Amino acid sequence: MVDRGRTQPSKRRTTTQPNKRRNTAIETEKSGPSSSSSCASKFLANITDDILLEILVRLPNCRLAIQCGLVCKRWHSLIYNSEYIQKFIQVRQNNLDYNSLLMPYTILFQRASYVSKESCYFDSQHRQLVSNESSSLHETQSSGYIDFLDGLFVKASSNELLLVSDQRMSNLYVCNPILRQRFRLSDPPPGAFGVNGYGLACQAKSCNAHLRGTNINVQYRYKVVLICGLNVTARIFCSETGNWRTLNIPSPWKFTIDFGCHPIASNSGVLYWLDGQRKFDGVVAFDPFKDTEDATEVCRFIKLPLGKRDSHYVDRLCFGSCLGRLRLSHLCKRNVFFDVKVWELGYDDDDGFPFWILVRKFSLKRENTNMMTVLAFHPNNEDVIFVLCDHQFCRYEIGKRKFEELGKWPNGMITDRYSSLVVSTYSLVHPSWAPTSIRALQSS
Amino acid sequence: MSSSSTTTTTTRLLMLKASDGVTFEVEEAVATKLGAINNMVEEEGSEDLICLPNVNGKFLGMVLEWCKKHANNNTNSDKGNDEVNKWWDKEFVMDLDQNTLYHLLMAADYLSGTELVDLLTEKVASMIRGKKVEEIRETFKIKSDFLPGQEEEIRKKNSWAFE
Repeated sequence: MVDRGRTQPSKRRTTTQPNKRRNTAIETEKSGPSSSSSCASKFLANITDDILLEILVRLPNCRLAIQCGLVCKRWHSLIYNSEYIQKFIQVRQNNLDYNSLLMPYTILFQRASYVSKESCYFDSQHRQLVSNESSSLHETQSSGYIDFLDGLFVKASSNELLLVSDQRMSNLYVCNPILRQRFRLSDPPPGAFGVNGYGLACQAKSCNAHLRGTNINVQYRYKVVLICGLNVTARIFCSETGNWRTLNIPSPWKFTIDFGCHPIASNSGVLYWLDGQRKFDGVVAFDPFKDTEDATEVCRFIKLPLGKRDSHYVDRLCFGSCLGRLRLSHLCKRNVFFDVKVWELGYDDDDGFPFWILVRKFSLKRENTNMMTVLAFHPNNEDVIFVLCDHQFCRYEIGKRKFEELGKWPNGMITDRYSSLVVSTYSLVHPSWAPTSIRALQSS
Repeated sequence: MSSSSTTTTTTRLLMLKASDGVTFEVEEAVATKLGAINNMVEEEGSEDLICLPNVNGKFLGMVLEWCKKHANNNTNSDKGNDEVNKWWDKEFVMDLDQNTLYHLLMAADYLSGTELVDLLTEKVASMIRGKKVEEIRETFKIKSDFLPGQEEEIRKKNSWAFE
């Protein structure tokens, strides 16, 4: 050290170029605001494109980013650029403990009222949605969703799309509520009476090897499936052809389906529903993208992982998708506690045989709460579920055992003993960047 | 490095000289929080005096203050320290005016202080957050340079984002 000190004067060194990329920084600093004279502020005008980009990728959501593209031409050319979008998504992936903000989501709760044992209707006046963590897309007010859906009944959801019907239940639409776009499907083939279940499934078109959530303007196709009648047939609409086809499903499956509070779930292009009525033995997996007339290829029955002593009643089960995997929960009241088990569906690598893995086992307890129902799984966070505690919607963090009240059902819930039965939930997972136009899906 | 025979445990000191001649004597571990300095130190035959003609003393001082804080806390990194750091960072950027922010950003970028750049860009982004286009222009004194109609066209194309 002493040696070095002595040699200082002769060997002193100047850093004008700490690294290559930074050359631009120095030049711009010296040349002043000439390159972007339109911007009057010294601050952001003189800053290099590199740094301005670093700032803009840290905007909280894509809605604000797109708005910022209107500030001036320079900002516009930076933001409306694939490099920006990739970085924008990348920053999110690097910064997050959970994947929860990676893909903004919405969960829509809709009340289903039973008319008779077999059928139910959805009351479009009674809907709530949770998207507190999905503020990425709807920072200000998310009420736009609800307005858009006025007079429409949500039937199914998949990715960022909803399947809805109008008042008369005869017209079906696929819609992207963020864009407020809807596309009316052609009429299904005759005989599609007594629809028991509605399904919507999306699948990526090209084999994008992208990481989950990084797809930009992803090209995907969708299928709409109507499960009809007691001698079960499936009507399948294909987004690519715009046509319907009919698939007869032979026994042994009777499809005595109770979709009132358990809409058909969609996970990675496959539809799942609980098979049974008020009491269930299994889940049916239905792959509408398998283009075959052989129903046994398309359908598969998966037994529930419940022991004989567990009751299979509908109000105790919840199933849905979390991080691209199907989850099932069973809730059981024990004195003041509610025991919850959560399974995940896996497929054997070799023979593709489905199996359930128990992934969570915990007890729920909340003061002054008599009824509890697991309503939904968080689409991106394995540690979060949505629970209905009497009339209160809650978000529950399993690890921290923390309830967060989200709000009460407007006008109060139905208070009969089936009250927990009548809320159906639909999850939407939005792309990290801009929503996909329905028109693009139709024309592609 | 032509490592000297000194076996002392004291850390090496570097002299950093700013554009206005102000010099700072800092521990190597602190200065190497800056990528640019780190590169130079790792290079063979590096000196103890480093001139930084693009950074003025005031802002170099602030950058080094940040380095000091983060270099210290690196040694015993536990969760509690992480929290302290975060809190300190928050205080650090809290009341920065635009002029200071600008010079700090330029300095941090020039010296490849990646984490500091992250902190500062995050701060600027937070100044944009929650503002309408007009408010952003107002805040940063930016004039729209779109041709008539252009702005409207972009707005229309992405109408969902402006509702």
